[in-house]
Formats: sequence, C-alpha cells, structure tokens
Amino acid sequence: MNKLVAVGLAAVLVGSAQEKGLELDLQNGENVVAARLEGTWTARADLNLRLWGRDLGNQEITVSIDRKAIPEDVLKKLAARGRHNLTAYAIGRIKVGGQEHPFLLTGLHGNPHVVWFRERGGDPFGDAESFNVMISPAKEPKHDLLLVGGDFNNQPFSAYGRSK
Amino acid sequence: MRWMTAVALLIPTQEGVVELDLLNKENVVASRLEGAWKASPDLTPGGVNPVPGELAFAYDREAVPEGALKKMAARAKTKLTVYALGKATRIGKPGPAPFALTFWNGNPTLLLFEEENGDPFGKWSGCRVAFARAKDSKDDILYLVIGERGIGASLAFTRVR
Repeated sequence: MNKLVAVGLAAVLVGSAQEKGLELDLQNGENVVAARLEGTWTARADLNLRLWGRDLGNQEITVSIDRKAIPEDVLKKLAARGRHNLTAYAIGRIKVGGQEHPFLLTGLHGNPHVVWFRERGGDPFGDAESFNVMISPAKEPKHDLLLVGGDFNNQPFSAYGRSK
Repeated sequence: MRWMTAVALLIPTQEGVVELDLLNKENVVASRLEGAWKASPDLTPGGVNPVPGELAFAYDREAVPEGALKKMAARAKTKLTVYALGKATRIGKPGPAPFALTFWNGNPTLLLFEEENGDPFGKWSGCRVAFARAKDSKDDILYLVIGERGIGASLAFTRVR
C-alpha cells in the first residue's frame, strides 16, 4: 500500500469537461466490491508469494462504509473537474498503516478503483491517491479475497483475506 | 494483439451509447484475459469445487458486430463501454461463444452472446470477473463470479497458456 503514489484518477479529475456529473450509486447490490469491501483484511502470504514472488508481511487494511466521510461539495468538485461522469459506488474510510483516510469507490478504465484523500495545505481533501481493486467473493463472506492493485495497471495485485 | 485495431469510437443508439475502448492498456482484465485457463480448486475462495475443465479466450475484434452491441446497449438502456471482444470456449458448452468485456454496475463483466430466434447475438448473459495480476503472467489468477444477480461465490482459474 505504501506504493500508492500519484493520482491514478488524474485522467478523470483533470482536463476539460464535455460530459460531467456526479452519480451516487451507493445502493447498487450488484457491485461486488461495494457489497463486500467493509471489514478488516490481512495480507495472505500464500497468495502474495504467487503474485509477487515474495511475502508482503502482515499488512492490514480496515474499511468502513460511511456516506458522510466525503462531503457533497467535495464530490461535486471532483466530478466537475473530470472528463466523464463520476460514479461513486461506495464512500467511507480506509485505514492503512495506522492512518485513516476518506475514500470513494468508483470505476476507472473499466476497473473498480478506490480514490483516497489526505490533507494538503490545510484542506483535508487536498490530495488524492488511488488504486485498482477487486474482490473475489466466496459463498461465505469470511472467505472473501480482497485484491489490491496499483494506481496504474503495471504491477501485481496484493491479496488479503478477511479477518473481521 | 493484432485484433486491437479499433480506437475509441462512439456509436450513438436510440437509448444508449457503445464505446469501443479496445486499446486501453489500463484495463486489468483485458490486458491479461487472453489465453486458456483451468479451474483451480486450491485457489477458489471458500472451497467451492470448480467444474474441471478449461476456459479459453481468443481476442477477435470482429467476433461481435457493432450492430449487436448497439442493440444490446439499447435494450439495456445503458452506455456500454467495451474493453475486449472475442470468442470464449466454455466448460461443458458447445462451440465458442462471442464475448464482450465491459464494465457493468461497477464490475468488470463478460457478456456472452448466444443465438436466439435466428439472431446469433439475440441473447446474452453476464459473468462478473475479478482478476489478480501477478508479476509473471503465468501466475495470474482469474476469478469468475457465479450467477448474474446478487453476490455469489467465485471460482478461480489459473493460466494454462
């Protein structure tokens, strides 16, 4: 997760806008990641050995869904800066490496994509970083797999199993 | 990858729009889906036992005509962005089926077309996909979510070639 650099959403958030708007699709029961993302996830050494060729340690990610984590005006501002409509499938907080950040789940280049925010210049939403994300659901959610990619499609995914 | 000849193209329809984005290297699934895959019980989360056999995906820009995509977008009343087109060989089913990889309800989704009433693309079904890109593509893991509605279990597949 410490490799989450640059703003992967730049293609969406920057540029002249022809078609833009905000769509909140927060109750879409068909969205796999939104439906199963909430919880605590711990790195799966066995899978990361396969995907990365090495163990990534005991990294943990905790996600809570909270519509109020990002104010409406911030969402509208993001959408207004993009080239396309911004669809949010989930909004909440994500804790990685002991630090918690507001995030939204959207789509970018046909991938489920998490954009998370941190303070810059006194603005709590002044900086954004992002990563591709997938979830492989199991029949029982306790067996779900969280798959975290990079901000661009140029690196392996990291696998996490649900611990809570 | 010679099939990737198209560029982003907007095709207006009565009720929807089809965008062909076949050259988008940022699409995780499209960049690694092509090839043959075998079911992997060991990697399937939760121990669901996949049906043994192989899946195969061959890219072919001509596999699904634009007209069929336009019709589908119109019937679904949605904008359809397509990241890959080709033919899929399925386990236990006859003949390769034309497919389109798209993004549907926020999920990477394979749309598989079948004949209906004489129209070779008259019927379609959707299969949501998750994908774990590995450092070496031979170690990639493809996950197919069972069922078209709700959140079902998923089955893991590993690359054969």
